[in-house]
Amino acid sequence: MNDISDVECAYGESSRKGTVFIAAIGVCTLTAFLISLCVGPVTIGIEDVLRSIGHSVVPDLVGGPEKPWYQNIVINGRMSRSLLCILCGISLGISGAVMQNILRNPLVSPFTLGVSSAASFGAAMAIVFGPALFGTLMTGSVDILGMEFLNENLIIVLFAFLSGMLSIFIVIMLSRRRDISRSTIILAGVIISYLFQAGVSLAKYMSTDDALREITLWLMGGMWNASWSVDAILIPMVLICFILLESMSVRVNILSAGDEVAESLGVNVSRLRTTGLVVSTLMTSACLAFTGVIGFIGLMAPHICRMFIGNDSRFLFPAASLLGALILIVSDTVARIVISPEELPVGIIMYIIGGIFFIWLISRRNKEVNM
Amino acid sequence: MKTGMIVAICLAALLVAGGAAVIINNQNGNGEDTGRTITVKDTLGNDVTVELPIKRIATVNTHAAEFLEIVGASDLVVATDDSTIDIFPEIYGECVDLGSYKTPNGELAADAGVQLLICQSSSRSMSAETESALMKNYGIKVLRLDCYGSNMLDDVTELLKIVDSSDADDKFDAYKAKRNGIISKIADAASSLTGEPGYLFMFATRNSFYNTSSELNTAVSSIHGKDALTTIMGGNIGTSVTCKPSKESILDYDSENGIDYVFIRSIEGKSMDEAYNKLVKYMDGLDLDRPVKEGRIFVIETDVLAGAKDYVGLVCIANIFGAEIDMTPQQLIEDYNSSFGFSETYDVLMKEYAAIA
Amino acid sequence: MTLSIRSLTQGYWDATILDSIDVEIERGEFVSVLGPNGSGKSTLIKTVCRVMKPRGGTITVDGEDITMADPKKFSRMIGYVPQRYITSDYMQVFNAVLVGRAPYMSWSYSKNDFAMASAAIDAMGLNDLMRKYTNDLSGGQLQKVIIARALAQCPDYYILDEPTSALDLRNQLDTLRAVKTFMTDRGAGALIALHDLNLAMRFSDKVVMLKDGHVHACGRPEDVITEKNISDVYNVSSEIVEGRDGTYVHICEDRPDRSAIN
Repeated sequence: MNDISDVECAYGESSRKGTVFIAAIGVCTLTAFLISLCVGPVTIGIEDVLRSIGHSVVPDLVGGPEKPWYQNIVINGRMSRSLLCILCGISLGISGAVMQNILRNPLVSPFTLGVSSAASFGAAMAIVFGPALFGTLMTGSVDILGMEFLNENLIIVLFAFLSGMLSIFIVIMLSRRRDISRSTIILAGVIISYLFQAGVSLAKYMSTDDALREITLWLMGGMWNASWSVDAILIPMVLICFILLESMSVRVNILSAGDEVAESLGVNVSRLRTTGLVVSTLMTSACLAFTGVIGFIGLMAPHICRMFIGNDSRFLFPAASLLGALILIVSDTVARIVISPEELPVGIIMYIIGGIFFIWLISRRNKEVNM
Repeated sequence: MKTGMIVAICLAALLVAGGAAVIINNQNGNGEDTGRTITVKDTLGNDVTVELPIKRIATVNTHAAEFLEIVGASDLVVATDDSTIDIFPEIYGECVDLGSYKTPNGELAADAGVQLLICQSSSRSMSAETESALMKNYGIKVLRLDCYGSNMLDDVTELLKIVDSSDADDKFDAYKAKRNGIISKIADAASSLTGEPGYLFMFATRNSFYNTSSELNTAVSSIHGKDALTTIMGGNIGTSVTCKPSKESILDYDSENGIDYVFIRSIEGKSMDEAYNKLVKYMDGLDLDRPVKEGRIFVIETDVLAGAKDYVGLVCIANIFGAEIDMTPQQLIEDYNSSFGFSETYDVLMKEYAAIA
Repeated sequence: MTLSIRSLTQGYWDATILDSIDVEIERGEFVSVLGPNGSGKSTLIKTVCRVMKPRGGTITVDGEDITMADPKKFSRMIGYVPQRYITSDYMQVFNAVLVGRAPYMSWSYSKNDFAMASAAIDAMGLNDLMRKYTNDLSGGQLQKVIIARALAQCPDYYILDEPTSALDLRNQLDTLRAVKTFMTDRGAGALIALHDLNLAMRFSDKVVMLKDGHVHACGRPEDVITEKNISDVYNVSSEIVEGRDGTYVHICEDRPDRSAIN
């Protein structure tokens, strides 16, 4: 006869492991965030950084930094950018975890389903045909709720976002034909991806030199578009989507027993799948629209977390989010300083650092990933 | 009987092969009289042997096309690329359209009897593979002459060797005299300018800034002012002619020392506003009223910053700095057009941006 | 409380697999479904578990049509153990069993959830394996985990599709005994598809024998598992033997008629 507390004990252990891991990553992310504010082509000492933060929050109590434009750099330049890194990292991390667990496939990421190709296509269309379609509207800026947005950015963002949503819409419509099975969804996504990629290639071929450059830059992905207005759009979106996805985590756990068993355990599998895919695509499209294509995190962050804390979605989702944020902030900070005052695209740093780290992790484990 | 058939087929095949070889050989030669051979130096410094006389050339380099008209040799051009036809319809409208300058159609060129094709020097404008294909398949020699930038006058001098006409040589001398005259007037006018204003020169197409390795930047600083980019880059400007400093460092420099002028080179085929927008976009995110706090921002038409009309661009810059010569940029354009038989006019050659549009 | 399957018709594409099946399972009753391959055992199981919608007929619990029931309510009525199952990597046994408590939890597990999971793990003899990862288990151990999950679910009716296929002789007996004890203690019913006639004979309260989508025979084990029925349904000869511990089915191999060869 075993003690009731034995199962509870085991469960408590793994819960604690999950919580500790999340807390640890959270602390690291916060530290990385603060460091990113202090680091950059312009050397700003820690006191000036703190003064800048203090002055913007409580201007009457805290005096500004020695050189007043440092405040602009720290708050508007660096902080908004690091915040964008966090928002993107969270979106990509949780979307990857959600998609992998919902489709029970370790190779799935927000990009396998064609979202990034579709968003790239939208952005390419906006860049190449925008001036023809919108003419003088492309220059200039607009004021929304007291924040200034460059028209050109808004147009590119809108196209990218709509394209991304279109892709998942197509995927779901296609797979609805015979009730959503996992392989159908993945296959549909891959095909959509190719279609949109062809579109991007065509746009690149037909574009002028400066448009081509812009498209290439967008495809490389980077945080150069960061500003508080961008953050203002993304913060509520990421927050809401995160809460939605986390609330689905219990049902996603049940999905691990198999579609049929999950149904018998009270989970509406196709609705869960659709909602999960749509919400995570929404999140990812919104971020991609501003930052361009950022790979790796959606695929790797969940895997790395699983190696430490297992596959309980309730813990995996927030863990993958925070890890994604951490990876992105660190990579972006390195990208900003390695050839200062110029910048490398963040993707390059991320793939190198992240790839090496992942290979090291894998070599320590001998198991095959099976979901 | 079977053996006999095989032998007959082999003989026939040999005959066909031999005949084809002869025909191909003949094609390459174009059956022309070979006269003298001269050596020409291309922009990259390579020696290229050319057999004179050259009666039919193709150009996929619009600058070269422009100079050919200036020296009165545009009749030699039988084929050209689509953008040259677009820009100079009255002069080159009748030529065979070879398509894009990157991938000119070899068949059409061969059909037009082209002996020599002039293109830009960088492999990005025509790849080495395209060049060798033109040579091997159609016997068309490729000559890489930029005819703009630091090598401009040298390139045109080499080009004249092929044109091989004393009339052309005279016309080029006249052009050089005119150009040198304007440049020395600029130098005179600028010598009375005082101070050392700091400036940045933005290349809007590539979203980057010209550094001291670039022709344009050197041309500006020779008139007046001091390049600010080198300081912003911490002295490390890298190997290419442009740099992309982070907006932080630009803001820092501007706040500390102040940038007095920003020149922006307009984007080919796009409006002045769009070029200015690139600068705005570059500095976007930092809470600024305008990209540079107090400096004066000017967009200058790209056509007058390189190529045959480059001296007009220098006059624009001199004017911006406050040095004037006896002709305005627009007058110079009129003079240029009437002297050399062109008709392209510009509504605006430079535009100042006082505040964010 | 009775699980009533009435006039159930089911099929794939053009083929009809089940033709007007009637089965009743009372609370506390262990009902086996027997039949050769293709007789419709799995189809019956899947239809009851709402994997497929029935083409005709009804499935009711106490008069209430369960094919229309609310998913949460359904999950408390029916516990499904499929024939083929997948493992999730990085999942420990106790977590896999706890998944069975899904119908009762919303965010975290209650003391009762832990208690039920514990009882299920205990019943299946998985105490030593509790912290192991499911993909490190053997096929037989994994099958026991899946059954434990259903036990933890505590439904009104257990629907098991060949739950002993990967188990060895000892484990087959232990598992079915454990399931029977567990369900009778809690007053739950069970509908179990089995291929082993002896196991069916030993543990069932009622046996349903299917042939070509029809109920060939239904009733007490000793009445249904007869030499004639076995011959009719399975097309093999058998001998029912009274042994030390109960009644056994002894399958005889039909030797092919020597005269047919020449």
